[in-house]
Amino acid sequence: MLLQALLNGIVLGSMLALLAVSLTIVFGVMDVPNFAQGGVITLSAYVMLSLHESLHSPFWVAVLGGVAAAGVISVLTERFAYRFVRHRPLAAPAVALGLLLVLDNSALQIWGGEHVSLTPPYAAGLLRIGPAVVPGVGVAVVATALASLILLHLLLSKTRVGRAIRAVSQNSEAAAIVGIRLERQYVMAFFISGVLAGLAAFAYAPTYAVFPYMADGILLNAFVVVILGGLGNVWGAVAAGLLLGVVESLGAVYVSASYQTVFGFAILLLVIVFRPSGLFTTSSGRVA
Amino acid sequence: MSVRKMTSRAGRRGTALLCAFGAFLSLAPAAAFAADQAAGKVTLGAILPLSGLFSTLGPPERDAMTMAVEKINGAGGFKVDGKTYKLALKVLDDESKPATVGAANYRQLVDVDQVPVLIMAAGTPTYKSLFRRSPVPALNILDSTYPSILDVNKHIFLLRSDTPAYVPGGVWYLKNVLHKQRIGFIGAGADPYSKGIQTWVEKAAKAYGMDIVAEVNYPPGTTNFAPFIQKTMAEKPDVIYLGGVTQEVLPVAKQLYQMGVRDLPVVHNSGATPTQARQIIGESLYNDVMKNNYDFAGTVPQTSTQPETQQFFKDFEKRFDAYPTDLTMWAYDAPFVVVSALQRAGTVTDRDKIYQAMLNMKVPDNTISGWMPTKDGKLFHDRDAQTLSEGLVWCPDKKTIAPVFLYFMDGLKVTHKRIVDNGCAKL
Repeated sequence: MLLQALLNGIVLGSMLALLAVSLTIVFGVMDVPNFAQGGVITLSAYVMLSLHESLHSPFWVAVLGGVAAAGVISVLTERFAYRFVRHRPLAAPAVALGLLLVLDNSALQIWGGEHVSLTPPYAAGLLRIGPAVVPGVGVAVVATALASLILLHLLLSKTRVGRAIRAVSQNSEAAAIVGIRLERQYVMAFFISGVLAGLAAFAYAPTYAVFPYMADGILLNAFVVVILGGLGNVWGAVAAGLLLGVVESLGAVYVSASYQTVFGFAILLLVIVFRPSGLFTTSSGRVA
Repeated sequence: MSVRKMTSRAGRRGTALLCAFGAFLSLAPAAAFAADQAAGKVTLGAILPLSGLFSTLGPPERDAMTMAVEKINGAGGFKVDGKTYKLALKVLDDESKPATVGAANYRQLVDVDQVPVLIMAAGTPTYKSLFRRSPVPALNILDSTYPSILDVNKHIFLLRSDTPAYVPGGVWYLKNVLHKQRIGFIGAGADPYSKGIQTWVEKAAKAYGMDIVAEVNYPPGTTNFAPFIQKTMAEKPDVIYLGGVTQEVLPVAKQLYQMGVRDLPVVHNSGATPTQARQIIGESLYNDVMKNNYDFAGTVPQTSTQPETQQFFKDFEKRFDAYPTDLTMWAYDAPFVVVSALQRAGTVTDRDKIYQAMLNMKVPDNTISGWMPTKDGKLFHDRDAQTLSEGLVWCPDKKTIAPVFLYFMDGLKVTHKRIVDNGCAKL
């Protein structure tokens, strides 16, 4: 029972970590709580669904299409909405929520409200570890999160683009002085965040179903992770995501399954009271 | 002329214009309604979940009602008090949010559009205060939650059997035909329908000598059922009972399968169709997931022996490329019930007379659901119209459903029962 709960927690935590990191990138660079990320995930899943089910594209081609679409949609949210509130931080949450409504309801208008399955080739697969099992879609969540985070780490630490993004998040004025083009970095941050959202859509959609508000609930949990991990701290978000997933899973099994989400918010309350900067804040700035 | 006099005159003119505009706005709906009556049109208003959590239910009901309205109008309409009328269907989407969007829809249809009868679906208790303020005869074609919605307001009629009429029969079947003993229940905690099912599974299990070894309820918005499945399976049930509607039940069934629970019977009361199973579970997976699925609800048109019901099945499937369920039959019958009530009442506007007519009306012609009338021939048994209930099993070879059990309940007693052997082979 403990092993199964831990494995369930790792799957859930991986999903949360992936989502939280996509939010952290944007927050680190622009101080914007990107609630619209839920809408980007939804639209990405619908693109994958349309390509795979309606146009009969191979599954992996549909996934690539959906991930690319997510990147583009995310950039469009920056170009047409967020950039106008860059210097008005009080307006940003309202804009973000408004964007979420627009994106979710666009999905509703285009594809309707019914729940539809996005079924990958490994949907019936099962990984047995001793007496415990991990569904194939759960393995895909962990693998996607792991691969994405490793690639993100390499991007941020080894490439010029990554270093520029980190510079902007640490001190945008200083970054501008040394010649980094801020507009370009904002767009890149949103594109990377969008690609991560697309990967989250690929991992998340097959675990349940595709419908217009599919990501709104789990996005709330992801924001909890962002706060727990320290605003703007990528590796903090990863650690906090895994912690939250395991705590919720163990709490559901050993205390009460009906209050599964309560455990995460209970930890959030404790952290806000005793360590408001987050569990893993570093002193050297954000997106680090 | 002084400025004060000029502004005063302008102010009085503006006020007069505003009053005229306000009068126009308040009288416009009544005027439009009167125009409808003069033109021989009766608007049938319906609040259905076309989107949101219950969106598997609303669209087929709307489609079935549309077919019925077209049939009525195609036959030249209907006569009330010597005058001919045609039906117009106005369906508003409550987005599966009866307390907010549904309430606004109620006000629109009942207060503004002045519909003589309202067709309703889910979330009935949330309309309690609206019924008190603006009563209207209402025909509910979906909400069989327990405690009964008939307790919400006397103007509500239920055009289907409610939860106690079909849930116990399923438990009886598990015990006496499948010879199961240990039920593991997984329900949707915030859904009154699931809670009602859980109540009646508990009552039936106690009456028939079965054990409920696990009962877990997941909170609203849950998409990862792994902890709930794990908790249930830890108690080693020999059957899994799922509470909730189709959109709640099928994802749990899918995740049960994905977590390796593949040999236990999975039982529910959702009325899920093969079309919905394919859509919600996925093309490559649904046939395997639905194996060992049993669904106990109302009778379905496919298994009916009535020619008109079988014709409805063929027409619906051909037109909408979807499998018609028990809900679609009741929805199809709803316009015929309304027309019959209007004719009996002799009015298309007097809601009190229409309400009285509905209390005493007989089973209308052209209905297809197989309504079982009262001893004195009335359609409604204390405002509840009833049919036989049916248990269905999945047929993997044909990827569809077939009957295994037809029954009628009197409390917890199965008063009429017919076990169907090899239902799949007979398709």
